Amino acid sequence: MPSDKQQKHRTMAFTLVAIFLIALIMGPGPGSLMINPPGSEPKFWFGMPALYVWAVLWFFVEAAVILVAARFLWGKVQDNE
Amino acid sequence: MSNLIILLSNTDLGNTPKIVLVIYLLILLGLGIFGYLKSKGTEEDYYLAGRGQGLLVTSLTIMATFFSGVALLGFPGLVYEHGVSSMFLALNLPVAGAAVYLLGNGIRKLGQARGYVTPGDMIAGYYGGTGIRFVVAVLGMLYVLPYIIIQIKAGGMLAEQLFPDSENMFDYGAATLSLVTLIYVLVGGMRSVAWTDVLQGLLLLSGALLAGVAVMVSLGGIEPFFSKVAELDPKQLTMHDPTESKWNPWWILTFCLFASLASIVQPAQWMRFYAAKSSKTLRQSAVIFAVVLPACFLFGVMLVGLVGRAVHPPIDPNLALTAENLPEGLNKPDQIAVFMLSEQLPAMLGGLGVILVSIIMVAIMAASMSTADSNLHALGGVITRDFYDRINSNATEKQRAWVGRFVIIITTVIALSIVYRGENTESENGILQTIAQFFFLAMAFSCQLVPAAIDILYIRKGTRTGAIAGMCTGGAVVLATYLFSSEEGIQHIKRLIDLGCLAVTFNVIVFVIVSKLTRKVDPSHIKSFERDLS
Repeated sequence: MPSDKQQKHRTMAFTLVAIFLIALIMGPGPGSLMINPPGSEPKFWFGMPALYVWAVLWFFVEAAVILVAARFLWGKVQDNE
Repeated sequence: MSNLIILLSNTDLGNTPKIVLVIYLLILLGLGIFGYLKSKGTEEDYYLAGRGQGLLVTSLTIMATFFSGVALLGFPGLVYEHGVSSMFLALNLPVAGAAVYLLGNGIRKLGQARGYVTPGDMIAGYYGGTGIRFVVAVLGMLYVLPYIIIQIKAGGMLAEQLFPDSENMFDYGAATLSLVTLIYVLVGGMRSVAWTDVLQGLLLLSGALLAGVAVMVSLGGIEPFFSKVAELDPKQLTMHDPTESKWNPWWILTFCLFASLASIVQPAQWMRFYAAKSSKTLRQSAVIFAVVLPACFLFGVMLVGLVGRAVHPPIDPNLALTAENLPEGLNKPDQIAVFMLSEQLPAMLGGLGVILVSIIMVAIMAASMSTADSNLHALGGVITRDFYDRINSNATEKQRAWVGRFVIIITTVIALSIVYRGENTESENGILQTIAQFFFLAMAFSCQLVPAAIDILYIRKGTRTGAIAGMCTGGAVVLATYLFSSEEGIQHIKRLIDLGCLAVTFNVIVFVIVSKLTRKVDPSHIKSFERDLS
C-alpha cells in the first residue's frame, strides 16, 4: 500500500501531466482554432497578434509545469551521487 | 547553410567573417588538444568522457546537439514564410526538455550500472539477442549518416563563398573543415566534442536572443515593432487550413509531441545521457532546455522572421517565395534573420555590429560543424559496440577505442568522397540527392526507438520480438511514405500528421500485439533492471 507521501506525489504527477497535455492541446493543438481559425480576421491582444500571445501563454504554462515537476517531483529522486 | 553562404557573398562585411572563422577554427583545435590532455585512453573515457560531465557541459551539449545550423536560419525563415502559426513549433522544446529528464535519467542510470555506451547496448541488454542490437544500430545510422554528409557539403559551400576568387574552394573547404572536425573528434573524443558544443550552444542561445532584441530596438521598441507586424497579410496572423498547408493545429501538435522525442533519442543525444554525472545534472539541464531555449526563440529570432515579412515583404505574396519574388538581396526565406541583422546591426553599432553579425554567421556554421562532430563521434561508438564487438568479443577497451577512431576516419573519407563526387560528377549527383532526401526522414527513423525506450524505463511488458517487429514496422512506414510521397493521399496524411508520429503509431500497435503473443522477458532479468532504475 503506498504511503501518504507517495500518494501525494502520484496525484501531483498526474495533475502535472494533465496540465501539460492540456497546454499542448490548447496551444499548438486545436485550441488555437478558438483564437484565429483559417480565414478569420486577425485579432490583437495588448497590441500584439493574438496567436502570438496565445503561444507565449501556453509556453509559460508548459515551463511552469516543468519547473514544478523539477522542484517537487524530480528533486525527490535519490541516487548514489 | 547554403542560404547563409549566398547571403555572405551579398553582404559587405569586409574580412571580418573570415577572421572570426579562422579564430573559431583555432579554438576548436585548442579544445581538441584540451580533450586529449584530459583523456585517459579508455573506451568509456573516449565515448563518454568518463561519465562525469557536469551541468554546464551537459546542458549546452544537449542543446547544441539538438539543433544544427538550421535553428538560427530555419525558424525565422519558417515564420517569414508561414506566419505566426509556425511559431507554435517552439512549444515542442518543453516536451523535449521534459524528455531530457524523464528518458535521459533512466538511460543514465542503466548506463552507469551496466557500462552501456550506445542505444543498442541498452535495448539489446534488456531484451537480449544480437538481432535487436542490429536493428537499433541501423535506425541510428539512418539518422547519423545523412547528417554527417550534408554538414560536410555545407562546409565546402561556405568556403566557396567566403573565398570566391580562389579556385576549387569547395573541395578544399570541405576537406579542411572535415579535417579540423576529424582532428578534434579523434584526439579528444567526447570531451572535445562536448566542449565545442559548449561554445556553440552559448553562441546559439545568445545569437537567437540578440537577433530579436537588436531588430526590436532598431525598429524603435516594442510598440512600433508590433505596429509593423499588424500590417501583415491576415493569412500570416491566423492558423492554416489542413487542405492547404501543414501549418495547421493537427500537424503542429503531432510534431510537438514526436519530433522532440525523436531528437532526444538519437544516438549522439543518448550517449550524452550516459555521460552525465548525476540525476541532478540532468534535472537542471532539462529545466534550462525547457525554459531558456524556447524563450530565446519565441522572444528572439522568431520575431525577426515575423517583422521581416512586414519590413521586407515578397513582391507577390500569392506566389512561391523564390529569389525572383523576394526583395533584392534576399534569395530565400531562410536568409531573413541574417539579412535583417546585417542591415540593422552595423547601422546601429558600427564596427561592433559588424563583429556581432560575423559571430552570428560563424555561430550558424559552428552549429553545422557541431552536428557533424557529434554524429561522427556517435557513429564510431555504434559501429564499434554494435558490430565490431560481435565479431571480436575479446577486444580490449583501448583496441575498441582505436577501432572507433578508425571508423570515424573511414566515415569522414567516404562522406567527403560522396560529397566531392556528387558535386563534381553528373552520374554521382543522384546519390547525394538521395542522401539529402534521407536527411529529412532522419528524425522519423530515430523516433522508432522511443517505444522500446519507454517500455524498458517504465512499463517492462514488451518482448524482444515485439520490439523488433515494432521498430521494423515503424521504419517501413517511413520508407513507404518516402517511396509513395507523390500520391495525393500520402501528401494529405503528411499535412495532417507528423511522419514520425504516424510511424510510431504503427510501431506501438505492432509492438503491443506481437508482445502479447511472444515469449516474455525473464522476470528476474526485469527485476534486476528495476533495481538499477530505482
